[in-house]
Amino acid sequence: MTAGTQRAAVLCGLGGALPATAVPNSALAAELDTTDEWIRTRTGIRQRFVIAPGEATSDLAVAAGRRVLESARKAAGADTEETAVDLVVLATSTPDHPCPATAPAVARRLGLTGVAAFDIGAVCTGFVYALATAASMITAGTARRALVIGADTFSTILDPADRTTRAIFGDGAGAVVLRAGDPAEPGALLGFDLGSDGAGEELITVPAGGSRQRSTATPPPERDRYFTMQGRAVFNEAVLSMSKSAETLLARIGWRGADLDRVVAHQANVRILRAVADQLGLPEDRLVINLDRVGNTVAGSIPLALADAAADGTLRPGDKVLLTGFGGGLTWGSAALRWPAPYVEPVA
Amino acid sequence: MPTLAPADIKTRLVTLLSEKFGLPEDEILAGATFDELDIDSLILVELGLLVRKELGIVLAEGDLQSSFRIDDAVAVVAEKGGLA
Repeated sequence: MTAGTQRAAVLCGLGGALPATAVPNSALAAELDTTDEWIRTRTGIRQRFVIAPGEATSDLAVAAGRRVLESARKAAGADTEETAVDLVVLATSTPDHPCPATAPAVARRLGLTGVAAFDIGAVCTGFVYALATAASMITAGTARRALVIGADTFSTILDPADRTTRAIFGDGAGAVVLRAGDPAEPGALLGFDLGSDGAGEELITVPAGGSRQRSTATPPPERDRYFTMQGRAVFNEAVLSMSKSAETLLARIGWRGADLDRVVAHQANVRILRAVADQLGLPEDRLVINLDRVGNTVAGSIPLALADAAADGTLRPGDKVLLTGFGGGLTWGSAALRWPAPYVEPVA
Repeated sequence: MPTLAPADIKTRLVTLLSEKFGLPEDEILAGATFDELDIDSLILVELGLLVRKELGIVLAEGDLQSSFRIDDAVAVVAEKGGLA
């Protein structure tokens, strides 16, 4: 890179990982007051995956990390100094421990001891926030090559008796590698829109376990240890925030909505995705959808959807792609790129 | 945005409910409540978002209730749109 050349972060690897155990709707119907039809018509989800006892978020993050590093190596054709990752950013809101961050342990297990490594918490928007952070560090020259992982294991924080959240959320991880490159290359991240509104912090929350509750030194009620979500209000905010964020970014980079080949929105609920397409005036076939098979995997959702869509040919090189997410905080964010041709293995 | 009369709002809402959600137009017009039409609770959120997009009228989550008949929904949309 010569002095004065404009620098961009370029997507050059992609991969995902899911736990071994799939939980079909029928298994939830056998345990809770729900049915396969109720879950499918309200969410579009057929199954989700859950980790085994003793597994943790880092195990999925490492599995996705191994795949994505292999993907980036195959794309580069060699292992060289130039392909060495020097930054690991992990988006998660289910870290292995409340303290420390999970990213350093993930980096070590991937053979990356010594690199900068930290977690980012923006719940379901976490991956977009992590992508923007890593891309900004690359364009600033602070990092050359970044591993960006979104990984969550919400099965560990769901109320076992809550038929709604049990149906929606699943465990999973997805990851990309970003490298320094040129803004004109396919895969270059062309812009971001990020935002938040703390007035909605109680719409998506685990009430207990943080300093607010622990400083009281009183054990919290059992239900406060679990994740809660106010479904209808979240639905409304998710649709409005993602579509507004998408429109803001499109205007900023000079793309028209009608030119988008694919929209990869956070896989929250198929009806949220369709409503976002309605708001953007886009036909539903522009939406990438994989939540039917994996559920809502929180920070893992967007990179897992990318990995599935790249593996099955839904994403083609050159496609104009918009990523958009919404999550607890409240937070939202979008990113845009022309799809490169990363090597990607199907996510088993 | 041209000014909408309540009768126009009613026509638009009935069209959205029948075309987007497959609800029977005759039963809506006969005064069935949303509950009686056997909708799920997300449809009212989706309807509110479509009203915002297509009529430019902003409804808050919860403004449309499942106990409403079509005329109740028209009244709320007209009020929120400053048309009542």
